[in-house]
Amino acid sequence: MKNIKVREFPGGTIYYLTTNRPDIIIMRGSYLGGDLRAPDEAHADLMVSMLDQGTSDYTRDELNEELELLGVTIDFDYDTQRTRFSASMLKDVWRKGLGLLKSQLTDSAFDSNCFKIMKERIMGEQNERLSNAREIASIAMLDEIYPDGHPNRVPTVQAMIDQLKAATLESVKSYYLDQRMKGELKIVLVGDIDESMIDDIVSEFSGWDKGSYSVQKPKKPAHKAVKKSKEITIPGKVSADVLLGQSLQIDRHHKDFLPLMLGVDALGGNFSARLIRTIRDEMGLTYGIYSHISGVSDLSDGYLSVWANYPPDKISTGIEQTLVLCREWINGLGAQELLERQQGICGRFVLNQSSCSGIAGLILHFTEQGFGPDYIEQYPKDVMTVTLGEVNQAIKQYIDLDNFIDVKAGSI
Amino acid sequence: MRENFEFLEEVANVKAFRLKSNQLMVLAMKDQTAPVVGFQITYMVGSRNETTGHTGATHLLEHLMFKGSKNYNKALGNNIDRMENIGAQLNATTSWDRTNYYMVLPKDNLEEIIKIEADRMRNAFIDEADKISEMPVVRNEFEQGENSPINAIFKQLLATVYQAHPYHHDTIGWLSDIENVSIERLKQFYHDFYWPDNAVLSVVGDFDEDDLLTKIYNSFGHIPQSDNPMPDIYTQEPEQEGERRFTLRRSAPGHSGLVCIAWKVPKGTDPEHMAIQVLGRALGDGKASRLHKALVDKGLALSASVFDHPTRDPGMLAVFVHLAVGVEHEKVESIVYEEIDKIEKNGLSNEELTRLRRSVKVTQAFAMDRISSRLSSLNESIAIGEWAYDLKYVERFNQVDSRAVQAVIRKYCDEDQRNVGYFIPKGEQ
Repeated sequence: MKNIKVREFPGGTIYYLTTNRPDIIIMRGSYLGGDLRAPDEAHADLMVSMLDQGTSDYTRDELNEELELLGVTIDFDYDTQRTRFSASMLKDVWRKGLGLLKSQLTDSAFDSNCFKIMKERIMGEQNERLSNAREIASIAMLDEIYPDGHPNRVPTVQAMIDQLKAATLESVKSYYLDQRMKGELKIVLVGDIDESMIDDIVSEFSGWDKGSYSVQKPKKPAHKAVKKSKEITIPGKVSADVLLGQSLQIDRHHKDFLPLMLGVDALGGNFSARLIRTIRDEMGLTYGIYSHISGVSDLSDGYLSVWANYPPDKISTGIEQTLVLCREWINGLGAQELLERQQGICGRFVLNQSSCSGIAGLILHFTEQGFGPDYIEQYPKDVMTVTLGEVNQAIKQYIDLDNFIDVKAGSI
Repeated sequence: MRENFEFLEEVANVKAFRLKSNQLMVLAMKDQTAPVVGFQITYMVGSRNETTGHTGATHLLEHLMFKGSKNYNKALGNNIDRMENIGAQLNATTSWDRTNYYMVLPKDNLEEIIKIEADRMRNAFIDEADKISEMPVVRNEFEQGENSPINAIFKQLLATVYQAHPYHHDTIGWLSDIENVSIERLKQFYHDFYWPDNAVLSVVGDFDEDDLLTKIYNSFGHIPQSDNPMPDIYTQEPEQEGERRFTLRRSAPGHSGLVCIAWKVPKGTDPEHMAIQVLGRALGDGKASRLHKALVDKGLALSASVFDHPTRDPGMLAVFVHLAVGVEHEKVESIVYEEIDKIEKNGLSNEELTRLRRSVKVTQAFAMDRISSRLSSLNESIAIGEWAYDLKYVERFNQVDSRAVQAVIRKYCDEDQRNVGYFIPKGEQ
């Protein structure tokens, strides 16, 4: 991993790594943008969705057929802070693939008929979120934890539909043109890479303006924790998704993040963690139960969530037993348990580096979050040097079981 | 140790061996890109081997296999899930034709998983107390599947397409069978099928071949092969003589309708099935596919996809369309037929075939990037009875021409062999 190379250019930074996997090229990239910079989330969604609907040189059908003919896959996405893109292709079509990616990002057609159909499709997809019990529970929990405008909040289905209805081709295109070729680029290239390909990227993106835009820190932090319980009945479900959670007041760079992350991993990170060994393996209450820390990227104050799915007659027992385990967990991990969690996380980290796509994803993630590419070397060392005292102190300091929010969605 | 193995053949960097003492097959694919190795054991037993009363038994047994075995269990503190503590990613899946247990792990720990898999091949506990605690877990897995309209309609489609053959039930089984199957039946299943001569080991990644074979011999070599031949499935699906239709109505707030249409097709290793694969990709693979253009790009559907998974026994080609809001099922159904009729009448253009071939080549190349993808590829190939199926896929795909695709449409995609299902959200007409 020490061979990750870096090339700065006016639009941003390119990180690249040549592996011994012949012929294949994986590209992951992003630029500062995302829905916080858009008029609203619907505009961000519509904008990235229109990027594969044709360019000034290709109609939608021509573009899709050309990409398939070349065997190039290009996808776009967005989050609160960034517009994202990814591409995979074989080396023999690199120049054409790169050119198509660039034209989709910067020269999108915004055809009115395509826009109309895309808007209807996204509205249909939004409507279907009403049937997604886990997502409905998550929206409700985040709504309790965070104030309006916080990047970790997720718009309700109705809010998204209202935004979509109000969005017009002109307003989305205007947003597209406003952010086009602006905002710091980070591009990661992994696979059968040579220097000429980096020259190609610098040349293709030569007009890109890095600009002065930076990651937007939340204007207001999470609400003060207050215990609350929510129930959302969804017809047609035979079980319920249950979320327990709370805000954590720390971001990815906080000194307590790694200790707390290790603690939460011991609680419910995987099959060998406490929750699944008891709630599933011993009690048979659910197929799966997991705990996570989320929402800590980009200087955001994150949150803890514990998710499980229960049949209606097991919901109360499931929640009660989860809280019993959490109370035991607050008393702290043992030294052997911590060592196992550390080794497990570091082992998984090695596995993630066994594919070009895994490596590319890691480099992009770390560099977006302000770590250098060499943090791939440092991260396992940082994990292994966390002490038992730091983990147990972090759990005690940040976890407030008395003020857990619980949300049940589905058949209750 | 090599003398204990018979070398069978090598295809595309995968070497096949057979352990002489018990007929256990070993597939070894060396790749030293990273200090990581993937290990998998595939048993040739799936929901295909189940009958009424114990549907879902193969899957429930798969769950019980994680409850411990004689030398690796929770009491000893070395149960398989402890492998996660060194970073291993492990799981298992059950399908119609096979059950597989797999793990991707740092290479230094390979021997441990070999020992665990060898121990649980014949020494798994499979006990009543574990079944009692695990049954509700599987029931909850069933419930989570039922919450999805696409899963629900898929189950109904299987039950409609297959009347005699055991593909007629989904791997998860029927709820009453999951709840009532006896531990004796599960033990019988285990004792019938979990033998070295009914299993294939696949190892992909950074290993030394001699060392690998030594480790496998040391752990598996002493296990005898089965005294009895594996129970065979001789049931054949009778010829379908007329279209079958069904409707599934269920509450699903915000969800629009679904249309599925399926035809019976030959088994995965039948040469005609590769033409079915080409047809499936032409219809539903990617944004340049015919159904995407005719339905999604026209605003009539949110998505359109094709299921043409190769199977050990005759399988099915199925089209699934997720309707856009307010679009009638009948309209979409007729467009699917129109698109298939166009291919039957006019064939696929050379340009379209070139695109599809390129797409398949690239997909295969990128599948090689992940150890888990390579394990999966071997697993599905083993399941249909030809372990090198996927390794030969591109070459065979490229040999299919337009006339072969037209021929399979004429032979298999006719009205009398058609099965059509509508999912209609309750409250809609």
